Amino acid sequence: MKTEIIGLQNQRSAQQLRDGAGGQNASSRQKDAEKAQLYSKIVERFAILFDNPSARLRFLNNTLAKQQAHQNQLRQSLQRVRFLEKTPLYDWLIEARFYATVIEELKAIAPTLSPQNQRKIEALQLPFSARVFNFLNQTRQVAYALAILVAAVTLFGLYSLVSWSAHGVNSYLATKYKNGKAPIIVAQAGQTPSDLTATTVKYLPGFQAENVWLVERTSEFERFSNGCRILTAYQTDNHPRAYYLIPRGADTEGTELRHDIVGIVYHTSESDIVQFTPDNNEAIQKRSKGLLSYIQEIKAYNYLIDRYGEIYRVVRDDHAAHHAGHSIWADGKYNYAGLNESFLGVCFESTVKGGTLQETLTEAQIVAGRALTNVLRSKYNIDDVNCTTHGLVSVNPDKMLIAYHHDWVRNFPFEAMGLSDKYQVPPPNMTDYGFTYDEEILEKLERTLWPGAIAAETEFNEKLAKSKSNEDVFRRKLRDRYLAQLEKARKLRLDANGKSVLASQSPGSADSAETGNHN
Amino acid sequence: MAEEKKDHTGESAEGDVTALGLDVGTSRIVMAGGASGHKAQTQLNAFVGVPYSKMTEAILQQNKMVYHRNGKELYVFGTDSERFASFFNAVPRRPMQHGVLNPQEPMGQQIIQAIIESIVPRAKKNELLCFSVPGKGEGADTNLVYHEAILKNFLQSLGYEAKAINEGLAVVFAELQNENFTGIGISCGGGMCNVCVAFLSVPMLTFSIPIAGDYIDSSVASVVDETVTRVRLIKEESLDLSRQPKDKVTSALHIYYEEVINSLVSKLRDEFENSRQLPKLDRPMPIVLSGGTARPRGFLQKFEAAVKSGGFPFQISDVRMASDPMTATARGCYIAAMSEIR
Repeated sequence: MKTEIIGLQNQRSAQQLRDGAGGQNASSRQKDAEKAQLYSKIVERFAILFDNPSARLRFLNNTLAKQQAHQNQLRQSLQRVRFLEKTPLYDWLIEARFYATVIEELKAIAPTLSPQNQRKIEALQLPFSARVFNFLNQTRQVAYALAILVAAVTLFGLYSLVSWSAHGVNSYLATKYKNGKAPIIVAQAGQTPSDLTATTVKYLPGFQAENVWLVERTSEFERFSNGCRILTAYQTDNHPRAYYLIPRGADTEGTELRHDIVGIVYHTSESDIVQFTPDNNEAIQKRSKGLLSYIQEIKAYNYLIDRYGEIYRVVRDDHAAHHAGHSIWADGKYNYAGLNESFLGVCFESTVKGGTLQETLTEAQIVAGRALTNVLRSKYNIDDVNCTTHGLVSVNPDKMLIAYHHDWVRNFPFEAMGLSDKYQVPPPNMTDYGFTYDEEILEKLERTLWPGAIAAETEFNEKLAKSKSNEDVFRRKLRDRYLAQLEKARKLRLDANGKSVLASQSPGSADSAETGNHN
Repeated sequence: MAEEKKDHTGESAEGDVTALGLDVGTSRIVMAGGASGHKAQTQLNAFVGVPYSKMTEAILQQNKMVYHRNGKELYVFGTDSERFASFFNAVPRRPMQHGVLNPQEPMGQQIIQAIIESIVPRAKKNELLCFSVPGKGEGADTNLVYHEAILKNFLQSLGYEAKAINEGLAVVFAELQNENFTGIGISCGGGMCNVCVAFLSVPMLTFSIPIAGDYIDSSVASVVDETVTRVRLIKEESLDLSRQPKDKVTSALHIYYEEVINSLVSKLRDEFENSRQLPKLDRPMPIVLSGGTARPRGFLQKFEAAVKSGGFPFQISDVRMASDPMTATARGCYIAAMSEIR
């Protein structure tokens, strides 16, 4: 193989050797001349290693010619930023590049040398910068590949970042820095965070139900002593209630089989409503009938209270309706997992105002709600503590999160219903089953948690400390207990009826029939 | 053409030619090759023409002389031409003059090709061959391009990749390795003296002067009324410039040698002073002399004295004679050729 030394000599003209590339000012030429002398001295130091005159000549020619070419190339590249030539970085770069060229040439010609001189080359002490530059120069293909890879990963990362919603970022940060507690605003009217501890109560004062009795029953309605009238035109069957009592705090799926009603869960229909004005009478009624037909068909609730305060029984009381899905509540003695079987579902025809969680009830609905609550409590001896809302009991077992559905997650008029404020109660799904919330839920709840949820965290942490186990492990264990309890209840219904009613209660499918706000 | 090849030079261990160096001088053509370039073969760059006759051809064959027949002429060339000339009392003719092809010699190109062919083997794989050319100078400028092109074409026709290299630079390559090819190489040949100032193998300054061995010979011959051949024989065999001349021929040789040396040194000094091409040198430079004209004893001392007497624009470390003045240019060409082969 022939090189082009004679050709290179032409490139590396005497003029260039004398003062570097043309078209420069005197100081630049002076600098270049000094540099050229420096490089000449360096290259001569290495040239003496070559005994063979042609090898030495080749080394000299190649090294200096390449250096000149590199220098010109760099100068051309920096044409628009000439000031860089006056910086030490430029000198460093040129010098390192020069040494790299020397190394490159030494390696190329070394095989022709005597073993003694080869050893001398190996023992040469080159500047660190030169060795680094040479290494980078030799591995530049790998560097290019890595750069492409990094660019690809960066682009993908940016794409992912853009794709990732602000909710996702917030959720991630909230999870990551959970111990530090993301700020939570508690927006109970007139409350400040410092009030929370004082107002949080574990057991509520007794709100006794009135003594209410049935006055009249016709084929169309039932009338009670408190004036409550329940229309039965849409009444339908589902499946009889059946569940196991789970003693609170016990590590069991429950043993005592029960069929009675222990509580009420309040819902909103989140259906399409029109403005509550006389002009809309027809539309209001039409929508109510449509809603009734729909919830009758899917057996969604036990009761519906329309906007005029009319109370409709849909799924008969001794049958379970598909209103609560994955849900947890508890009283002083027992946990209830899957409240369809043990709780009545009472739904108000209502929906939230756009972008808020403000449910709107008519005066008639409030009056009817209170009357129905009293009827049911009186009829089934329901304790005040077991009258709660869907938002407070709903859970997402897959993510271990509370408030999967958030109808009445706040602002339910407990007092108007003759009930104690359940927003003050630490929700059992958090305290007993380790469910929690994330940033996404906080955002959905407009960063507003009810006081009981905050108190529940403290209570859970105390339990966690006592358990002396890892938080994740502990939470998973509690969730598994919940799922095991559900599974046992599912088998119970299969046994009782001889056919599967799984569709009404199994995870996922239950939610499909369940109504209310959710993700 | 009858030819005789005594040696194959520039061959690798396997016998293949890898690179060759060729000094195409006015009076001699020297080829260098082999592992180190020290295998050299020389032919006089001269010829003698005689009318063809069977008897003459028989004599040439009997004496194993190389010759070339061209119609009714027989041309004895190379080293044999000198012997043949003295045998027939003829004056050898020169294919070249003042370092380039002699325009007044119609057989010049053919003869020079024949001489080269007699010492340069045909290339096998487009091997590299570097050949010497003179530097620019008085009388050589216009013919230089033509001279270089003719030689290049011919060498390429032999299968080589031919590259021209300045004669003075070739001397630098051959003799100034230890100085990393920095210094002044001077080749004093038959037709001209070639000078190259090189810095790290790069020619910074090259020039030639058209007075050299042939000028001395013809000048001396004319002033002492002797033949050029006889003057040359005296010059090459017994001239000692360090001693006082003993006769009118040596006296004239002294005079004309001094003129050549002084002209050379003076021109070198002038070129240095006028040149802006030279880099600043922070060390003294050596001068190395080569070529047949520099061979007589005492030439080195006279040259050194000339350099020292008038002062010089830069420091000279030493003035030395090439290890083998007759082959230095060819060896330098060989080194240049080898340096291009990886």
